[in-house]
Amino acid sequence: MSGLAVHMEGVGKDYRFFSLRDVHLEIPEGHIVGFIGPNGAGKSTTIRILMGLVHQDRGHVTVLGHPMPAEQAAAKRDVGFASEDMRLYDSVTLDWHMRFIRSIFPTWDETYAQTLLKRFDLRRDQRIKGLSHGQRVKATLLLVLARRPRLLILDEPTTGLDPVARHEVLRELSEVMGDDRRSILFSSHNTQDVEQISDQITFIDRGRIIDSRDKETFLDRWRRIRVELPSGIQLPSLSGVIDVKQTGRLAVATTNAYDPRLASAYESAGIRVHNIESMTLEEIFVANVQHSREGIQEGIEA
Amino acid sequence: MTQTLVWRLIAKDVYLTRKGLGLLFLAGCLAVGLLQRGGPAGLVGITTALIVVILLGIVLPMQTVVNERKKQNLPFVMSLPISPLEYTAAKLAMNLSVYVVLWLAVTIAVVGTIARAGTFGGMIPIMTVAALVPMMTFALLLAVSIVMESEAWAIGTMGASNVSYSFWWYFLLQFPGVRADMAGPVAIWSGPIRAMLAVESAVIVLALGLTFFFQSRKTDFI
Amino acid sequence: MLSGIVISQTDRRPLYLQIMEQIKRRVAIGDWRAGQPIPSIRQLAVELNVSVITVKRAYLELEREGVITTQHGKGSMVAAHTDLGSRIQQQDLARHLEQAVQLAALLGLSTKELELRLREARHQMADAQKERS
Repeated sequence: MSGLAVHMEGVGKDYRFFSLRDVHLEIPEGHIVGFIGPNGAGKSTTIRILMGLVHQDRGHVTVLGHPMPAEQAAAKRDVGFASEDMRLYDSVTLDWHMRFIRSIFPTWDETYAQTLLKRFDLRRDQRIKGLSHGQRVKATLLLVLARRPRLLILDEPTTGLDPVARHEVLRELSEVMGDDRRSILFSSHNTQDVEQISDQITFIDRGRIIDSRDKETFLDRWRRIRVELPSGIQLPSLSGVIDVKQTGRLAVATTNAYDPRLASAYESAGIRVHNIESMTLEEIFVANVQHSREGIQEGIEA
Repeated sequence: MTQTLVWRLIAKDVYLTRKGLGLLFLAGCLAVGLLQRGGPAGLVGITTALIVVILLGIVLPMQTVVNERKKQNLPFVMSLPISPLEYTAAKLAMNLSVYVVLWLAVTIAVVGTIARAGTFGGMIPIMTVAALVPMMTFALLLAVSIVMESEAWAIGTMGASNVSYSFWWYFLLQFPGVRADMAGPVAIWSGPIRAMLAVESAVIVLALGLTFFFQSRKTDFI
Repeated sequence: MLSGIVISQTDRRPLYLQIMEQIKRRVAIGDWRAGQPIPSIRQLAVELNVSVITVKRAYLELEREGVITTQHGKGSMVAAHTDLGSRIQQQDLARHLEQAVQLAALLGLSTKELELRLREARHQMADAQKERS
């Protein structure tokens, strides 16, 4: 019976110009959770709270069974963390960093580290100062991966990487999934990566979690329905349709709760259904954020 | 596990600052060597010793604390299995131990040389007070660097410390008898001298203690 | 055991459907035989760089269609029906025949004319085989 690698309940944090509100996040053991949100939505703040670097003002946080931030030292023994604003020491080599991490973490796998050096095309005797951005990102990930931590918390792990490097990183992250006791949380702008390897997806916008469920459920529930309205007929408003764009007699309805009966409902109203399209995660993300912001706006105006 | 980790962090900081420390150590040896010669060389020696101790008090906090934040190395360190307080302890331990070792070596060399010369005994108390001033400003800079997390604050503190040196001297020399005691052959630990030593020690202890206090109350460490 | 499955990025169909199709194809042509063990859900997820939940869904649907079976603790394997390969091919044939009938109707062909075309196609195939051997 596997437990939760991460459990956040009712977490809140107040800053002068931004607030994180009522964040609820669960990562079951053995799962990959993709964390998507626009810039400034609160992804990094949430991740810092998970790492004990920021203390929440409200709510409970448990990482690998340890309450945070109280037991952060114990939790971090089994957590691998890499963030976009993290830098290795410029004046020393990758080899120095590898030996440093190895001396601290008993789970360091030197053979795997060597493999990663080859796969990531890195030289261990090179100074960090001389590395390109992509190489630095890969070096940081190597240091995290070679320890084989039980939980990986990654803030934008593929941002700024060329397609080859991105593919290599995704491959290594997938390999982590071979062990059903290891879990990953990663935040990303790159919805294609998230769509490919995540088991669950959580959307965050303006400090609030706006949606969080199984990836397959997301992809199943969201559809674009293209219809043609005969003259004189109005598009009925159906529950589950959250957006309609109409020009002339052609309309596109977006739904986040797709059911084949929706198409039948349109057809029985005399409307011709041209196409029912599934949406990419990126399209779902944008539509979801827009819908959420409109909803909040309406709530404020009501 | 945490104890070994704190040691590794200290070793890491020593390794990363080895070049600067090495240079200052060499300069310190040079200063002590010059002191032994006495005369004008001895004066150069004392000045060099003072510069070494002041520079060390700047280089250490700037490189191990301010730079670590500025160069965004802090998230890397904090991803290790330590708490913010353990990080603070490691920083204080490293800075203090390196500083005190060099400071002691230099101070003892200077005071010892003066004592052996025989006729300058009266200078010893005032030299001790003078020697503690760089340690005081070092402790303040260390505290401000750790707590305020800002290069601007660190630079401001350095500036204020530099300006304050002359005030210390002026203030101390106002006390009756201090100047007279300086000229004599025997060390006299008068009231004002002892009061100054007490104040300096208190400032150092307070700076370090307040560092822990403020660090433990922080809710945003990065 | 590597599955050798390759996923297409440009194929807009859901990933789990692609996986299902590729597995069914292997079973249909006999590369994966009845009763043969197949990669576990996690193994396949790692090999294809896709999420476990996607492979899980593909396997669940395949199990529902009777193409594979999963035994708790023993892993997954191709279903034990001896006619599985041909069953999938029968489904394919039924679909193709349906398409042929629809096209014939559009062209206005009678049943007799359609039968003629079928015989022609079989003769062409036999000739092509003779030439190759």
